[in-house]
Amino acid sequence: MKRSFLELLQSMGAVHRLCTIPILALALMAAIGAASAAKADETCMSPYMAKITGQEDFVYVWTLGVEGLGDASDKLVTVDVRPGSSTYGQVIDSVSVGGRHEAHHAGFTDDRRYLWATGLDTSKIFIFDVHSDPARPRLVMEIDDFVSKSGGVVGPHTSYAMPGRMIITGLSNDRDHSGRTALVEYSNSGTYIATHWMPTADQTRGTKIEGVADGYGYDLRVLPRKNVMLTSSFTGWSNYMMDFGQMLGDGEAMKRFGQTVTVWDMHARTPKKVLHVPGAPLELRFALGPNHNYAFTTTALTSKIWLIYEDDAGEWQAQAVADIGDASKVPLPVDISLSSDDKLLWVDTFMDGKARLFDVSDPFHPKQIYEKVISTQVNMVSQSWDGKRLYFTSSLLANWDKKGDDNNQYIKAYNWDGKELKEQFAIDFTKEKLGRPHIMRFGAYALYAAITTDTSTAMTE
Amino acid sequence: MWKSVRIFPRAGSPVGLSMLLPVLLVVWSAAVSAHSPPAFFRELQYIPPQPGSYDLPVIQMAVDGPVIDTDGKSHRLFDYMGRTFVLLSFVYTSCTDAKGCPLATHVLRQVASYIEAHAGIAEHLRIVTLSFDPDRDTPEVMRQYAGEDGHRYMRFLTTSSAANLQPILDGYGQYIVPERDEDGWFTGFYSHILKVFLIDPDRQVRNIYSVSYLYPQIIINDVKTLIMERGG
Repeated sequence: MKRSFLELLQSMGAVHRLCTIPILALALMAAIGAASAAKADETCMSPYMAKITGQEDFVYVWTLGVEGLGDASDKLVTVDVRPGSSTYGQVIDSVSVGGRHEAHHAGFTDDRRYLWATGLDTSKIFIFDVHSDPARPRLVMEIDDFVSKSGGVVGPHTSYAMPGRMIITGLSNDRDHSGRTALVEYSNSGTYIATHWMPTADQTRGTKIEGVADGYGYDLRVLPRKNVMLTSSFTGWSNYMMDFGQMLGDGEAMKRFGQTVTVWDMHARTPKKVLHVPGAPLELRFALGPNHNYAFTTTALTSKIWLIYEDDAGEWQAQAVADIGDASKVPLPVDISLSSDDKLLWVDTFMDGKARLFDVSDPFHPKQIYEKVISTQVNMVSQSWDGKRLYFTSSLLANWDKKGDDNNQYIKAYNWDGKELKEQFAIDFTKEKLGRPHIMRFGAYALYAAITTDTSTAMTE
Repeated sequence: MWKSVRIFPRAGSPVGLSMLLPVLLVVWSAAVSAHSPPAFFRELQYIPPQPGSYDLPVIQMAVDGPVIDTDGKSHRLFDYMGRTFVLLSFVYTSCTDAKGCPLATHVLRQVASYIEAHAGIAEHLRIVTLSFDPDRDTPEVMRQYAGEDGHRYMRFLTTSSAANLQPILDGYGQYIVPERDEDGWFTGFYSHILKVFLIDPDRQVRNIYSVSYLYPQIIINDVKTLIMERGG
């Protein structure tokens, strides 16, 4: 299946088509390009990253190994999502990394040639080559000295593409395994660059503090045109590696959750302001509109949507703007995904297994307009750029997933027609002896000028 | 041990006659892309951090390789580094994408103008542009691309072959994708992620700029920050 680059490569200000066509034609093409925008790819990714504008070919699923299941190791699982493919909706590849590391999040480098996948327990980072053969990623590098190189950061979480480098958010530290942590930078080649510790009350680093400064970390997103970087806050190793039921009964442990979103000077990597967002704000998603200076996050423990926005005076603020379900029942909102037009926000709530859709066209007044039970538990959600395809996985953390019959482990694909989700396929990761699926990332041949193996001849001069 | 040769004129020294001679065969598209602000170019929406208020840690070591100048003379890329800070960009002269090479060239020419007007910077910063299309970007084409006011602080280079070029691209992580048509033929077009590298006199990469923060103000502040770091 071959496509032109004009259709398949579109930038978020990063990838450029270089050509020798006349200026008038270029102007026309630019106008068309601006009007059509991108048609696919996952929303909410780094704006520095190469982008798929056609149908994604694969979903890479970073999966936790389960003792006694298959090879029991964490692994990168590749699912074929090409419509019409003879293996559509099937696992076509699996690369074990050996051992269980609490596989969690993963992110591509800016050129999208490599996928960095992290382990929250062992603090290892696994780097996969996804460009040589997008259908069969290869493990090409392991970073096993993250803790020592970073000066004690534990629990690498988000891997976020910046030009020529990656920023890794930590969740914890090796001194007390609390949530006090830092951001760690690496070059794309895997060389350690720097550590930027989160501001705390006793080490403010000149940061304006609104309420508290816990020094915790979790997710990271940037808004380059405003030179703003945001980080959220979760909890430390001592909590995320503890049994969920045990932790809920531990009063001291329950006090050790993040309650901040930090606003950074992106270019200088210096914290500017700590916003008070109680209840463990997790995923951050910046709006994409050229004049939309805001981001969403949700708080796991208090079940709210928060808006992080720039006010009329140019000051960044945080405001709770909606409840997610009945907070008293702790639905536990986990992953969120914002549509590319900034109008719809999908929110997964782990405990009731629901995908909830909010109309956020007025970001200060989100309204839930749809919900569907995906399974007994649901965690991550990824949507295509056109909003028509959504993928869900089940696992939160190895020790926090439900037990017994409720412990369904899967990836499910749905089509969204504007009214309801219609299931396209589901893969039982327990039955397939794979493990607990967590984050998903999209792959495509088109990014690398490669071709699919079942429809094309070699593309050589 | 490598010893740099003087490839650029000293700040304040007379400009060479060849630099002042009008180029007779200026390619129209090159002239347009080089001198007009690309449509994509927008003013910076924030005040960049003050020089010296932040760090720019080493990202990686710069990479050397054989290159050719606009007179067809062979050099090493390191010949252009080691004395000053260097902004290194990779372009393709046929590029007309407003977010691509024309943007980079436009911004770097603005930086060159700043260098020209500020003696304090002039002794510290030079600009090198290397083509990643050696088949078409010959020394003559690069001379045309440089334009008649090809800046005294800028150098436009190419390579003699893809074999010589590729290790340089690999070393800087500058990935390019040749576009192919439905029949698999190379169309002559490329896609790439625009990157400009700020390299210090120790040949260490200290920042990498992409479209969203390729602004003269940011670049100049970064250079000033690094000058201050070295006690300047």
